[in-house]
Parts: sequence; C-alpha cells; structure tokens
Amino acid sequence: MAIVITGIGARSPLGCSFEESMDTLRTGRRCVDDIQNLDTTGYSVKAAGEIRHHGEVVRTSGELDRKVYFFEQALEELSAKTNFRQRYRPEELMLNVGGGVDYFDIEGFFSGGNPNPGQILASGCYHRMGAEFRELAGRWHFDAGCHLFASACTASAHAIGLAWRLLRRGLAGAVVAGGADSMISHPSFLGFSALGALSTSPDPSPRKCKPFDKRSSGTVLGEASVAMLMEDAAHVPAGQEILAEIVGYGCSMDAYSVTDPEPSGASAAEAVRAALDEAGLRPDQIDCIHLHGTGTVKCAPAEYNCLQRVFGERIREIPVYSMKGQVGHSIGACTAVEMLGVMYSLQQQVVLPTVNFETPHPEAPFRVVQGAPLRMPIRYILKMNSAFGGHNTAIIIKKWER
Amino acid sequence: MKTVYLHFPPDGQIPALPCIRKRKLVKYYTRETLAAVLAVSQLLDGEPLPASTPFYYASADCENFVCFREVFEKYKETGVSAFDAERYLAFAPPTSHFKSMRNMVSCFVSIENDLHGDNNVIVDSASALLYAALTAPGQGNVLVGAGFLHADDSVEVGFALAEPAEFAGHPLLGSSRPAIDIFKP
Repeated sequence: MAIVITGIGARSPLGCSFEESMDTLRTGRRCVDDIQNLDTTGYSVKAAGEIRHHGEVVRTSGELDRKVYFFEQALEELSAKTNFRQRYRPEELMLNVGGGVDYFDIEGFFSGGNPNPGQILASGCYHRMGAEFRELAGRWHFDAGCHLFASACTASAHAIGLAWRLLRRGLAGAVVAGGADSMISHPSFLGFSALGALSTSPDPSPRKCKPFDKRSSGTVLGEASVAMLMEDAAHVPAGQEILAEIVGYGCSMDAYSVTDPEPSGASAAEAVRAALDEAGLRPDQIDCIHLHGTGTVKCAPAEYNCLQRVFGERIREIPVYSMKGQVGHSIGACTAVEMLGVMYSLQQQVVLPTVNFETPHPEAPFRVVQGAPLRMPIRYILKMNSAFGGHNTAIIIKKWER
Repeated sequence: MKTVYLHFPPDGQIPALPCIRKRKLVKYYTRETLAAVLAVSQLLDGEPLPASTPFYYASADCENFVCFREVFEKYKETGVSAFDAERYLAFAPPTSHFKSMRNMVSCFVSIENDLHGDNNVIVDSASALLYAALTAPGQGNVLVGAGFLHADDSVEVGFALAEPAEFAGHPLLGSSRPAIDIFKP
C-alpha cells in the first residue's frame, strides 16, 4: 500500500495557494518583515512571517481567529484540486490538524471592561481551537473524525504521522491532514517574549531568523494554514496528480527539559531510526534533510548531534535546509507549511538555499546550501521537527514513482 | 485494561508531591499536571515502565485560564483598563506561558517517568486518543491519559495501561466525545 499526498491547499507567508507558494520558494523572496496585522507597541521584537497574497500581508480584524479562517480557505483550495468530497463518503473522511494555541483577542477583551479571567469565555473574545475545528469539520462533513493535535512545534507532524498510520491500517478512507496556527497575536507574542525565544539580532526584520548560523540568536514567529489530502494510491483516479508518497514516520520524546532540546540528540535520533525502519530504508538512501532549523541558539547543535548518530560523518555531506529564515516559525503548523518545501525539492530536484544562513555554526557543521539552489537527484527526503516539551518527529517522503 | 480515574473538587488538595521526583519543575505545573502525575503514579504502583513505552495524552478544550489569572489580578490593581503589552509583560511571570501550553502535561509526565517513546498530544478528542493508541508502533503496552481542568478549578484525569489491540472496536472511536469519557467509571 502506498500512502500518497494528492493535493495541498496553502495559506502562508509564501502565498495564498500551492502554486503561489511554489513560485515564492523559487524566487527565494523573504516573507518575514515588520508586523502589519498587530499593534506591536511595547514589544522589542516586531518581526514575523504573516500570511501574504502576491507579497502583500492579508489583513483581518482582531475579532477573527486567523488560523481557522485561513484553514477553511486552504480546504476550499484542496477540495477544488482533488475533488475529495465527491470521491469519498463523509464517513470515510477524517480531519487531522496540528495547531494548539487558542486565539484570544486580548485587546478586544480589555476594551470590554474589567479584565476578569472568569469572563473570558463568555466575552466571545476567546476562540477555542477544539470547538472551532469541530464546527468546521461538521460543515465539511468529516464524519470519520475531527482530530486536533497540540504538541507545539510537532503538532502538524503528529497530525500527518497519525494520518499515515491510520491509512496504512485501513482505518480511514482519506485524511485531510495538516496544520493551522497563527502566532501573530498578543498572547503568543507575550509568551514568546517572556520566554526569550525571539531573535535578538540587530538586523532588519527579514534577516533576523538565521537557521544553522553561528549568529543565531532566536526565532521569528509566523503563521500558516496548510491542508493536504492523504490517501491510498490505489484509490486515486486517473488524471489526479500525485505530489509525493509518505513512506516512513517516527517520533520520540526527550523527557529532558521544558524548553531545551536534549543536547546529545539521542532521543531525536530514535525518531529518525523509527522512520527509517518503517520505510525499510538505510540512512545512506536519504538524499537531503529538511530540518526544524528554528534559529534558536540550541537548535542546530542538537540537530547535528542527533543526525550524526544516525548518518555518521556523512552528515557533513548531506544537504540540509530550513524554511524558517524565509517564513518564520508557525509552531503548530510548521511541519505542514514546511511540507511545501519538501514538495518543491521533489518536484524541482533541488535543495533550496536556507534564507539568512551565512556563517557556519562551529557546533553544527551542516552542509547548508547558499546562493543558488543545489540541483541533485532527490528520491527520499527526511523531514524533521522538534518541539518545546521534548517531542521529536521524523517523516520520510519519497518522490512519487508510479 | 488497568485504569485510574481521579477527580478533585475546586478546593481539593492534590497529594502529588510525594510521588514527584523533579520537584524543581513543580512551579510549571497546573492542577491538571499535578493530578496527572499522581494518577500515573497510582496506575504504575511502583513498577517503572520501559522507557520506550508509547504515551498519548489528551487535554480538554480550555475553559480555565490559569495563565492569565495572576497577570489580570495585578493589572486590576493598577486601575488601567486598556491593554498595554509592556505593562502585561512586566506582570507576567516567566512560568505563566508554560501553563497555557497544551503539551506540558505530556512533557512533565514523560520527564517524571522517563518516557522516551512514541507520543502524541491531543485536544479533547476521545477518538484521536484511541486511534493513536490503536496504531502505536512496537510490542507491549501503551500509556494513555486524558485530563480536564474545569473553570472552577476542579480537575479530572484518567489513565490506562493497555495493549494497543485492546482499543480496537472502542465505542468512542470516530466519536466527537471528549477523551476523559474513556476513563470515567
């Protein structure tokens, strides 16, 4: 059985369709800039990757939960591309979405009077992810289940990974899997500011997030809503494009720290080994690696140590890539939006340059592509992500070969 | 299937401290985390789990705003009613953000029990929790749990240790019921 991705609907800093996203990746245009859709008075960091259409930030009112709003648009794009609602009965259709941060219009709540936590839900300013997606799933008739995941930066990887397992076991007809998160809100900015996780680089906003770079000083937040149709290749009708095949998935837990990755990478390496085992692959069959690459100080060394355990010294030769310098970190949606980069690599047979990478990190001497895209034969890509709280995920994606 | 279900009323003490190894981390705990760590301790009854044991946890849709409570109280004292990010940040303890993150119960239960295996964190859904358990990789038992921190500070948690196949055919698979219903007696 081959579990394949037959379409993607996307709203992200890269653009408001799959095609626009591919075009932005081709041009390498920076999509992080000074925030436009939120008043950043009082914050030291004012940079983020906001959802854009033809380069312009898509603005919405503070009352709107952007992640759900844009996810529904991504679903509409996906539906038009794959016809999934006509091809599957409601009881065969499942929705798996990674997200996890509820949206709270805190400005609107304060303007309504006394800030009293007891009145937050009644105020209508707080948008519960579970309730909103259940409503959306009802409207779209995902009758086989509406499943939401909240493991922070690995939430959409968990959503995709569980979808893959369910499809392989024949427990769902088709799964729309992906991620929806918007960190462009006061609660998210307040939280990440308090944690000191945001970039302190003096560079202008588009250049603040520097994955794998010696000058890494923190990440930049982002937002994205991405929906992918996953199904058994045997059910895909003739004429329907197949974008890629998922052949392996594994995950693990550091059980080490609330915020920091386990520095030896031992636990994260277990996730990679599990994915390789599921795929029946040897490490030397992986052509390139799309990493989490947040631009935080401890991320790259931990990722390097992890991969050295699996790939040995070959890790210095395998091209690696991170999308976060270009679009920011959309947390619960980051794997889903970064799957666009995976699709680009498979379609174009290139590894893209990592935006803002200039100076190699002495503790993470990865082979990071700079300047022009690296053209090479790519059959298998390893996609890795890690999260606050210690979750690690690894997905192996294969170029579709009929 | 071995299960534990605990319920604590709004003012009920959660006697978890004696079973917590990493006490420095307790400052990050919510009442749901305390109850979860206690429930797992009771479930395991001194028998440690293999580190590779898969662990899946579901938290209810949020109705208790622990992370905002302390900040809003301080805000109130100033008499200022308009939102001001700088003022808010000055009042927000560094621990407050962790109390709003959905994966923290999973993180702390894993740290306490040295669990490094397959995992997932789910919002509310019994169906997602059961499917995660049912499709767990490897041989042996999986640990599954769910929690619900209610608006009035009462909290309920449930945990089970079982083989994946034991979840096959569960009536809540595919349902929209909350995960805590799996464990309610």
